[in-house]
Amino acid sequence: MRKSQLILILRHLSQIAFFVLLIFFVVGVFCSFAIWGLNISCPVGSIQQIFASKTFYVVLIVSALPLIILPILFGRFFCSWMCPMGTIYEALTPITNRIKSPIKLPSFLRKQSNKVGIAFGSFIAAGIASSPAWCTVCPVGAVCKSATGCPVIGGSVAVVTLGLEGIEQRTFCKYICPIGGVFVVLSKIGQKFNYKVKLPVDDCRECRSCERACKYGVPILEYTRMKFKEDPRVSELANKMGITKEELLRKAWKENIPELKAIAKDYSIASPECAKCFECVNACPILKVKK
Amino acid sequence: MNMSKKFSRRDFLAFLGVTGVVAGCFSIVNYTVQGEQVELIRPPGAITEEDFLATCLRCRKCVEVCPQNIIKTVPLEYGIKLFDTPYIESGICIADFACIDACPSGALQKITLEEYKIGTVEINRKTCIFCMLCVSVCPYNALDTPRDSEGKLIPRTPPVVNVEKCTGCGTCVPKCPTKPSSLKVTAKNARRVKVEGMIV
Repeated sequence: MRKSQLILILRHLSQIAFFVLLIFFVVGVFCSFAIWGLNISCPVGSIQQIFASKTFYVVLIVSALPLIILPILFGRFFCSWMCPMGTIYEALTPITNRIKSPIKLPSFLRKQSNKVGIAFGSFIAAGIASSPAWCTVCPVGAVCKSATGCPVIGGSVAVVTLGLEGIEQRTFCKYICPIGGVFVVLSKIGQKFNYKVKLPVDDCRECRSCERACKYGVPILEYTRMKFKEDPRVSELANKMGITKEELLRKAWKENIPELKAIAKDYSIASPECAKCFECVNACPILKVKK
Repeated sequence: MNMSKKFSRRDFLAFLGVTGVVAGCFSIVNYTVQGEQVELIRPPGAITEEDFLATCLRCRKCVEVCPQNIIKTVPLEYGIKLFDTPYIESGICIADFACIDACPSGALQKITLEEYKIGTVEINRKTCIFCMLCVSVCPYNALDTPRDSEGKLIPRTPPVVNVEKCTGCGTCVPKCPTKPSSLKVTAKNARRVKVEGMIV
């Protein structure tokens, strides 16, 4: 079994475990739950609460810290490893993959910065209206709460987002979800040192299988292959070997060039949008052949 | 969208626009969609109503841990601000304060049994049959048989509620033999915790 397949299986297990735990077993829902004596609260809910109540409740802030520190270190991992809404979307992908929607969302809705805007907007609204504004419509919370009676608004929003899934996969996660928005901002903060997924950049033949596999709309090649090709060290190496850059890159397909590999190590998917789902690694045909 | 392109000024304006629209919409909806004004019985240790609405995370932890399963969440009819906050409609609160221990947000503050008071019981004088069953079951001795100044029992008078002692726990309500029960717990005189500034 390839390493990427193992990671995928682990990820699905984690998704199922958190889905079952959050809905049925753990006291509380994703908004705030206790696991092995550790309290974890939703960062969006906690920040809204601070804005709304204008007080600092230390217990709440401490419980929000795990989901603030972990995204700084691991980016948006929550979305593809834990989020119950993400699990539902992922379970539906065999169906939604087959739908070819005639409608397309207008371009002003298809901006990944929108979700950050919604996050900041709901913080401001929470401050003005003195109540957590987003939480009343949050479909993630609604799905978690469904064991004790699904809240009307959140539940209907969840159904609407399932409909949007037919138009474009992960529309909610990519453009709307303020929880994802906060995670993206946090992962941007830790961009210099946080964990990033790596693809074989020097062997890449730009087939864009990874981009097609990516559900979160990350332009993977822009971050890896395109940047790698423009690296001055690559042309320097080509000069040293007495061939053009294109020839060197083509040579790398067949032969192992350790110097090129060393340069390739610096390139990874540095997008804060990356949810560390490893679908791109699994889809990469080069890795399938090379093992 | 191509993220490798620089985040232009136009993108930033769009981002600010989304922020503004969302902030505006949410606050307008919060102020306009308001239901009937009612005083709800909140779980023990609840802070003052306005702060409670601002502080509660709507996470339903209290609903899940309640050993008596009496904490319910407010339906949409009461307005969007109150929606999904916990309240007690009916049932017996045994004051083990599991809800306070579970609350992550500080909306339910730690209290002692002496400070515990979620409401007051009211007796319907029209339907009361003067059986004094409620007096015998009250765990806080808040209900008294009606007596005159000489200590003699006054006949055909409902029991006297000691507002200071009554906690609104609701133990007496199901014991009442009349149908529907002559006793009703209301949120009147509930002791709410006041908080200011930082809570540690």
